[in-house]
Amino acid sequence: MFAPYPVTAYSAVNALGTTTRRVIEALSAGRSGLGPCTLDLPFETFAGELPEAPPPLPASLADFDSRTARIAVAGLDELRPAVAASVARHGAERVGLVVGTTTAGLARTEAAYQALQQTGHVPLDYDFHRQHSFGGLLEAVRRAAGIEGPALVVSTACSASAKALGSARRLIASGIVDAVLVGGVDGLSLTTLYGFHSLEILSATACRPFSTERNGITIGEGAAYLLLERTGEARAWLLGVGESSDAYHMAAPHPEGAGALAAMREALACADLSPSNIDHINAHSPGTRLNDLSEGKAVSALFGAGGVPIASTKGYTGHLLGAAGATEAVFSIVAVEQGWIPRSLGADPADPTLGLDLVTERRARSCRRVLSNSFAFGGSNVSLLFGSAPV
Amino acid sequence: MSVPPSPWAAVMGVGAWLPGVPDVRALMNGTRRDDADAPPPRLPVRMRRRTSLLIRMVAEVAAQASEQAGVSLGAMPIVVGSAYGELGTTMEMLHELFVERGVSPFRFHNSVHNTASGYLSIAHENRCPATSLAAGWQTAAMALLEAKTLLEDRGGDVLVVVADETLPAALTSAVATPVSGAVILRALPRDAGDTAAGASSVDPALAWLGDLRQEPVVGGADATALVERAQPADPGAGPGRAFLRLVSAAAAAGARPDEPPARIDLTGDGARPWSVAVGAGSPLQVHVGYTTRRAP
Repeated sequence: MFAPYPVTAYSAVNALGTTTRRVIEALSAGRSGLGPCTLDLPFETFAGELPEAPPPLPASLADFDSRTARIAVAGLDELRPAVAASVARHGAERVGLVVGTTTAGLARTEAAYQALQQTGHVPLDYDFHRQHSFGGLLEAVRRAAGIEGPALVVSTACSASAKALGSARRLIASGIVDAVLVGGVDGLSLTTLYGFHSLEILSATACRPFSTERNGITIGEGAAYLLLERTGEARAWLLGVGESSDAYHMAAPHPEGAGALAAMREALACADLSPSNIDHINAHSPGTRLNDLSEGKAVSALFGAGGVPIASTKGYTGHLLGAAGATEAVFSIVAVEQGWIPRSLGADPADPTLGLDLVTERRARSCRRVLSNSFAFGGSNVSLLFGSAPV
Repeated sequence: MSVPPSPWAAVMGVGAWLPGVPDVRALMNGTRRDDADAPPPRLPVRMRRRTSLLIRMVAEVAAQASEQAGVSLGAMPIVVGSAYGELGTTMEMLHELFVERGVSPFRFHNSVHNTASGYLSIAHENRCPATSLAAGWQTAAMALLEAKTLLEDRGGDVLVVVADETLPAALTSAVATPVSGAVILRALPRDAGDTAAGASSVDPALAWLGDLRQEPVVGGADATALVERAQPADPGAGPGRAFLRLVSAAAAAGARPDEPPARIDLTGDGARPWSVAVGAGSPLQVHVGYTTRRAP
């Protein structure tokens, strides 16, 4: 039995803006946050960098400093009143924290390693445990949020913060906590840019998911949070979570989208819904041909050709890696709340061979139920189902 | 114990590997084997190339646990807990990045925290959900908590592995030796009727787990601290070692069914510790009526 729980508050900061309102305004206006990457790289690429540098951490958290930690704490700012109210209502020990990230403080370690090569020692203020480790980032967010319940990082690459919602839901269902702050955060790092470049899937310009002119992915940075509670005033309801593994390849999706299909089916089964009950899919597609084909086949198999309006929002924010799942969950909830689907930025001209109803212009549509897909290295697949009512 | 420890899972199999300690038997005996300096190959030949120590440790302890449990690793959710993830691969990648000015694609996709869980899933054609998590000192406790909620949600079996590699001397003065442990847990039938209805048998189980809990807050916010500035010099601390205490306790319960239940500290540093009760005897009997000799 899958008990639906309300998402009572959310926030998102990324290349579209440093407040949730600005992010949603840009999404609604169809305005991309992507631009030429400002990091010093020996190749051309775009990136979804925050429009303003994240502010330094408060003095009490200064030991945890990394770009990712700064983004994480800055992204939490707007949600502090809601988290504080939840802590006051349930007790700090009855509120949990699940954060999805892939890099944690890796960018900080890159700088320390570079200093080590140049000077023979790491900077005096470098702290491996507090700044590099997943636990360090988690502790910084935990202290900033004032949470005393169970706290963990989920790190399943690009599905991490979608998986985090699955873990959070189970923690509430299990009776261990009454609310969970779910987060996703990643900051730009040299390693990810070089790494995706070496895999030959990094675009030199803004990514174009689902387009015949697709050219690879663009990496972004940002943070998003959702407050999932046992009871409360719902912005939207988490109606289903489907999780699966491809068991196929570390870095390539299953060619027929078998794992993606299984995840979407399970999400629908949680709510006992059929594909015809779904009004929109926020796709995973980051802009690679393999991913478009795989996700396209899975969606077509479940919904029939052209069966559901689908959009990828990675043309706005870039691929936020560990933060993608939570960020796109926020966008899915916005579709439920406000009744519009963002245009799939960069998708026009859409690849006709995919047979999808690609939303190439912003579309007004009542979205009672929205699926949000996240797929990752390791063949990790998650499909989240959000709705306007708990049915 | 005055309160029944509320069993929630049966331990069906356990595994352990650390340098010189190739299995649970060696762990229990406290013997060291000098020839056990690397985990034996457990992955299919096509997957062995350039695998990290973390991948190989996870494959090894998972295989040990599945052999003892007599179940395949092909059809149960996978939970891997690791405080630092693919640290060796990450260090190699940093070297490539700053010395060779390039990153190998293979190393890059194998640097993600869920590399080991992905390898397990691929090796065993396991299409169930697999997760990979970290929580500093509480990594072992959070892995077990994740497994508990999965069992409540889905029933059946769950594989839990907790493992970490050596810490990089270039970046930290803290010392930790490689360590890995695994348990296969099985959901308990909710009542006697469940067994007739087809729930998996929990006999013979090694042990039962009950009452997973965290101590209440006593100090300020820092009492929950998930990381410390430096780990203690004792390489025997940390989440991997904490998880091995659970592995040992389950193995001991399996070997000595008359032992009373033990409470195992899962945290490793004493800051608001998580702990779990580990008991001998039939978990089903304990669960149904708290009627066995051992359960109070």
